[in-house]
Amino acid sequence: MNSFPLQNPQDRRTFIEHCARTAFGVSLMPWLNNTAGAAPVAAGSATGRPGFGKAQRVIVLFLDGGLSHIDSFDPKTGPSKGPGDAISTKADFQVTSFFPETAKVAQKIAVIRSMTAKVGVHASAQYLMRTGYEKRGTIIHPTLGAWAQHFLGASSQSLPSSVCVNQNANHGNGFFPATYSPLPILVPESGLTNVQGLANPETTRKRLALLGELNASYTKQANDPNVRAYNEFYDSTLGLMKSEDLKAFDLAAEPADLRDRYGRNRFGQGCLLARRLVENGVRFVEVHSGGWDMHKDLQDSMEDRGGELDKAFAALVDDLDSRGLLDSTLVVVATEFGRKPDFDGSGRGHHPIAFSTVLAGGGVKRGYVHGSTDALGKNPASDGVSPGDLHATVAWAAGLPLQTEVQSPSGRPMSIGNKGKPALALFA
Amino acid sequence: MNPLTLSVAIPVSLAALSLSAIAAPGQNRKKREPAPAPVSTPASVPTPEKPVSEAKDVGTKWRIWKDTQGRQLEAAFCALQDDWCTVQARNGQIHRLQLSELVVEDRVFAAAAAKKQAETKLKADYVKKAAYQIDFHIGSTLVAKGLKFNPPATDSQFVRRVYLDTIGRIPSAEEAALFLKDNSPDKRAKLIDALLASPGYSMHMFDWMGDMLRIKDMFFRGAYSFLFQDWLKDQLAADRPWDVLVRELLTADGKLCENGATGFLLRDAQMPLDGVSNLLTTFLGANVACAQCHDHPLADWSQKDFYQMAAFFGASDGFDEKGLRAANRLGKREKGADSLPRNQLIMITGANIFRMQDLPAQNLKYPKDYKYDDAKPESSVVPQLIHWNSNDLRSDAYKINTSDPTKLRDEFARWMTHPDNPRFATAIANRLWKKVFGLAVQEPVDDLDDPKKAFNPALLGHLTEIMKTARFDLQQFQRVLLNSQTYQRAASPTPDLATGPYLFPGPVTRRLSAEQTWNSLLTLAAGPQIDKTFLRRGAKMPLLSLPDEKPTVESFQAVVNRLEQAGIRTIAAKGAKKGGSGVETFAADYQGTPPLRRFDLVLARASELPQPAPESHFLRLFGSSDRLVADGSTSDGSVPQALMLMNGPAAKLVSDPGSCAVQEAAKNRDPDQQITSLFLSFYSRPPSFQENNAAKTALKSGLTLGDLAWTLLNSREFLFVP
Repeated sequence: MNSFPLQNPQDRRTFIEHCARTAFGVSLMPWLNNTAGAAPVAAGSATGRPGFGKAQRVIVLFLDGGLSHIDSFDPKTGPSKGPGDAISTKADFQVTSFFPETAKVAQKIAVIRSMTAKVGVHASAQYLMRTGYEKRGTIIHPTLGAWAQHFLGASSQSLPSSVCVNQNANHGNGFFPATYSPLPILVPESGLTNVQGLANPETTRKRLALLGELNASYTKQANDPNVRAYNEFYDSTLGLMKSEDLKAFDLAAEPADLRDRYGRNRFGQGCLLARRLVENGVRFVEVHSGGWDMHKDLQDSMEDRGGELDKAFAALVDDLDSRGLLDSTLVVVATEFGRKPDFDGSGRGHHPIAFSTVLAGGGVKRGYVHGSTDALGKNPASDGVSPGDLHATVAWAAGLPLQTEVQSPSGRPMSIGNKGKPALALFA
Repeated sequence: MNPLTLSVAIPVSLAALSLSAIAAPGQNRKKREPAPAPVSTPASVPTPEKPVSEAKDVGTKWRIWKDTQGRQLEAAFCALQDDWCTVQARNGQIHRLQLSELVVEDRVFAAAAAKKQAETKLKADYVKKAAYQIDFHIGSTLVAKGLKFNPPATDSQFVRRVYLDTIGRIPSAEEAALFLKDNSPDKRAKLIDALLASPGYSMHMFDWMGDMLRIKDMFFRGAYSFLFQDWLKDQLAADRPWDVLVRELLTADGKLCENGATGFLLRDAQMPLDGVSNLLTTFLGANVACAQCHDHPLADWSQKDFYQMAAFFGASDGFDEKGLRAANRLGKREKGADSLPRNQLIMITGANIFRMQDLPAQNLKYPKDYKYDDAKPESSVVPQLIHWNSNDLRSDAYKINTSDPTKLRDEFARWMTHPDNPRFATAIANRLWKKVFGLAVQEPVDDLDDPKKAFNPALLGHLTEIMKTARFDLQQFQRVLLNSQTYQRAASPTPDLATGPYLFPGPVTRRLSAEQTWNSLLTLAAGPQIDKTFLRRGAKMPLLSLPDEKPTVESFQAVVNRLEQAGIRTIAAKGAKKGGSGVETFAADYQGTPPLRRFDLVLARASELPQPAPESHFLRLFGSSDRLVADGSTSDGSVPQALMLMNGPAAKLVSDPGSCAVQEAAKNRDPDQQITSLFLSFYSRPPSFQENNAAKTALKSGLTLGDLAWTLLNSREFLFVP
């Protein structure tokens, strides 16, 4: 079986660089030259604090549409109970009967039951959960993968530092350079397609020479930032086409029984692809699962979507653990918002006030529950965690500076998680 | 209402003789109003007494259309786009007739009617004046800041841009050359008129609206919106005014499989509150979405405002949950249900449980956890319209009657689409401005609550007036924009809005939308004939309708038999229950020129493909929306896009010997002419001296015309609107 522990020089360099930077707040390796505008890290956020910097890689499983917390990781017995019963797990917390496989790995995961936000509109809520900032008309905020690339540099010489599976990247770079945007893989089974050049090397060389000439004159004349961004994508692409690491995108290299364990569907295979990618040097992978907007027909949909999530998440946690990667890889199950305690017999409406997020690995306590909701699952009852706090928490685990402000191109100071506080109780 | 009721209104002899082989037999039944008047009549501004316009000379417009095979249809002329004549039958149903199949007399009539109709649209001198006013408003803000307009766009820039903005694709080499060598002074105005009156225009508008309205083939397991898509395409082909079109969307009744116009409301039938939020933001730019859950933190809307608006839809129901449960029970337990093909059972169920119907009472209540003092939790909501300032209330738009629950939607629609509605005309004008200038006068387009936030409020006011003068004719409105000097200037680099407003010294440099990119690729591969391939999948949808009584195995079986008799091919809906979505099951039905199929791709325009295209399709790779949220398309770059253009089927399509652009170039002997032809195909311009030399050197060094085409596809110039 393929196994690539992160011992190549690139990763060591990145790690040293990141320790240096987080400890001293300055770049000791100016040739990376990507910290322009970064202020010194505030005292106190140096290494040595619980969990800080343990997650060298992050995998976010994002559930589009809004996972019902009550029907998944925050089961209730009262009037808000849905079609699933609470079941025991290998830890001392319960999940619903839609998650039997997750129950078997519960001793390896942590649940935040006190997520809370105010945005109940899909696109805006997804934006908030992906960036830690509320959506504004005049600026686009980066996702954590782009922040990490800004502070830590590229995670691989040929592979992208961030990948987004099952969804387009949707401005994942924010105000950072366009090439910090995650590489989108829309169909995990196909991986990265069209990597083979069509012409022989000699013709290709001539084509590219002519292309360079024509494109240079157009770029000069258009003088447009989006045109320049496309030029950078072409440069990355030409680099990637020559890379040995392309096999990271090829799921065919995985044994059939392991592929079955993840589930033979877009989400399951996307999770497996995420594992291959982080193993090969990609730092940040986001895998999307659609169909969680369960206004109606919740039971059937939980059986379908929930079943896929249950299988894939449990397989991913076990797979990473058995490879010794779980302690250095943080897996996050995130969503847009929760769903209302009122169950009308069919489905539930949007409920941003309370919802759940699941974490595993990357220095997070095993078998742990953070925060709680009231008896109905309507309001957080303790230790509320906002989307900004969640970003701060994941960034903390990834060893990123939370206080360091970066100037957006228009001169506005921005920091990871919009001044959210990391939930340090989650770390061992 | 029984679907047969309306067809009784049509003389039986005509119904029997209708050109069913050409046009869809679907019913556009509406229970409140008789069929709307033919859209060729200009008076679409509604009065309170008459929500839908009636033409005075309607009687003279009805005529019997005949085709060369002797078939007949009584209908009124709506529009003529190249070889396609759009007509409306007495029952409101729109039909598209291929001109070449009609008798000579009808062809002559259609041409004359089109000419006459052009005279009823905006007059050329009004267009000039209104366009000049646009330039004036922009000029004054530029002067005030000491800035200047961009230089005028060259003919090459103009022709590529205006093709993309009107018919959604680049011109072919031939089309570009034709325009470039035309010496007449009004050639730009003439080209604009010709493009707006061609079938490519409605295809392009369908792409644009598809993103805005979240058009999706499948709403739910087995519930397909094909009839809605056909309906919208017909409305666009007939150039239906926006107010009339939206009013129909909001008031339509009936099943998804019988009345296409229901497709908009039924899209959100399972989440009616979200649906209200969507339609208010899309059609009015009212930023109410947050007020759905709590008082809006920034805007003025309270949660009560939202609920009062939603109550206009509180006496309507779109999703027949009982019907779904009954069908599920039937499928699982009833004797004999085993013999029903499972995927057909799902499809029949889906087609029937989505239906708009009015209820006897308004049922919306405030939520259990309503936390403000202005209403009691779980008390019934009284419908009330929002307003932006107190003057609004005095306008005619607000004179509505909410006493009859079954008329709530009609009253709401009357208010919303009224010319005096404070935002309706502005919202669509602002969106169309963004469509052709790359940036709206007020951003974002779904939040117009504070018009002072517009980059140029006076301009936005002027655009609103043009929209009303054009009587919500979107084609005519765009005609004004495209004729402005501002539009016909060189494009600016993408501005950084955080540093200040953009004052529109010209349009903004934009990447082609995913749909424009795909359609342009097809133009290069297959030529402009792609505008003659039409996907219509709804005609047989009404066959899926079950009777109104409780469904039985027999009634399902009857539908299955009907489908079989009609020869409908159904593909097994793969894993409909477990593990994923079924793929569309109705046989794709192309009219006009059949699409080419190459490299596993169907070479039909974006509007004539599944909605949305599958995840792996070129369209999605380039940012076409997944249609889950409104305005969800993106134009970001990515590595997979570059791979597609360098190594994928896109590269093969334009560079292999079958490519239309390469073949066109190869008709010339002289390398200079070959190179010019390819540059015209890709960029609508001849090469510069240096470019020509570089290309000639490359050809001498052994590269082929295909290699040159590959290079032109991959230079970034291909991807951007000049």
